[in-house]
Amino acid sequence: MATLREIKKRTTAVKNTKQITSTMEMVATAKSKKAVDRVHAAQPYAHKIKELIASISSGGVTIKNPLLRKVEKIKKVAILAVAGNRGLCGGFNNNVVKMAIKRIEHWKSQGVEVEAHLVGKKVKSVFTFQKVPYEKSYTHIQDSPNYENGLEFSEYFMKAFTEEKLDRVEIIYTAYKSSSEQKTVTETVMPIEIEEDIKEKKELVNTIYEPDAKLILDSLLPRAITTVFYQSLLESTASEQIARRIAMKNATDAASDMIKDLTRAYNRARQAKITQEISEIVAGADAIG
Amino acid sequence: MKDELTVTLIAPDRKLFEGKAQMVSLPGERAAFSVLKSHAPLVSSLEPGVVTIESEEGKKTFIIDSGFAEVKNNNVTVLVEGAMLQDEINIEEEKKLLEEEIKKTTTSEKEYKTKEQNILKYRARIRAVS
Repeated sequence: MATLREIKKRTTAVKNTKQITSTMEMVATAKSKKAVDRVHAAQPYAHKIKELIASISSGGVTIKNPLLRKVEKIKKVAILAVAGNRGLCGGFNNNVVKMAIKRIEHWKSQGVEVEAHLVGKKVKSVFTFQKVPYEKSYTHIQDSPNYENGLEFSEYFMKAFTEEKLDRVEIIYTAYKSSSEQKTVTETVMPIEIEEDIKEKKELVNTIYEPDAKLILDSLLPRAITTVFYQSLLESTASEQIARRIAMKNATDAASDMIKDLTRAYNRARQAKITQEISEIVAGADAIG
Repeated sequence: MKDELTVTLIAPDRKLFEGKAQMVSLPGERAAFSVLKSHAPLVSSLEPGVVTIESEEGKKTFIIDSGFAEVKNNNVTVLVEGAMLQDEINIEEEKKLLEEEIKKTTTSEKEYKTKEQNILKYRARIRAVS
């Protein structure tokens, strides 16, 4: 049986931990709200751009763009794994790593070359530890990614894709579906899939394009790709904060339970000590009398 | 006069304007133009410049970097890379940025293009407030 002093020491330690985790929970809650707001704020733009592309390409205009090139045989694939710089957020980082490694193996088994790009210190360190080769890592993206971060990726990948150095670009990230649902997903960014809008076909023939449909599409496509990167960065940070909030909530709850158990043990030990002391005194008195 | 157009102005990271208006003036790539009720369906690219939205509540001016406008069934959607409200512009700072941009040396065609774009952007901002 642990002594009173030992139990007390442990209780204090757990209490301190609880204070830290509950603070982290509050911080993550505040951050997750902001991150979710940003995800929602970015949605209308991304949505509208996709809509515009769909309506232009279903307008009967045949368009040639290096970004829309048909890939006959995939020779090289780029995988961008997006996760966080910090831990203490449950399985958030690990899920991305697992899916990325699985995906890399999947492509390799088909004889396809893979270049991995990693976002976040955590993913990077796992790859380094497991000695999985990667092309480049990005650890400068903070809690609030901006549009420029999206641009950085899209510029590099679009260049490689149009120069036929890459035949496919995939992002692995934690998608934010709702505050109670986040899922690690693989999304193909390039080649772009255009959903044609058949319903609107007739109406669109009369649309005026200024300067012309091709030029508009040429500048729309890179923007659409950039928004995909931007969106995935935003969703990933939102999911990270939510994951951290949940992890910290669980930790706080566990600490509360532990404190309860420890206090109980402490009280019991104290009572036992008192009882023992009394019986010793009584026994002593008996012996004298 | 009744409000006849539904206008939305969106940037990648925020919605800048959403509401009814009578007239929208846009800096088209070929030439600036205005949109009134019953405009023919149109998709146009925009260059850095000023977007004015006139409604019953008054006139709102935005300075945009570059983007697209779509007009369809009296709905005007303006997609921009970046935008500012007129009051948000600090003229001294923009002038400084413009000077710095002009001094920059470029080595590739791409850099040259960005430089050109930036100069246009800062000039548009300065013009809008002065």
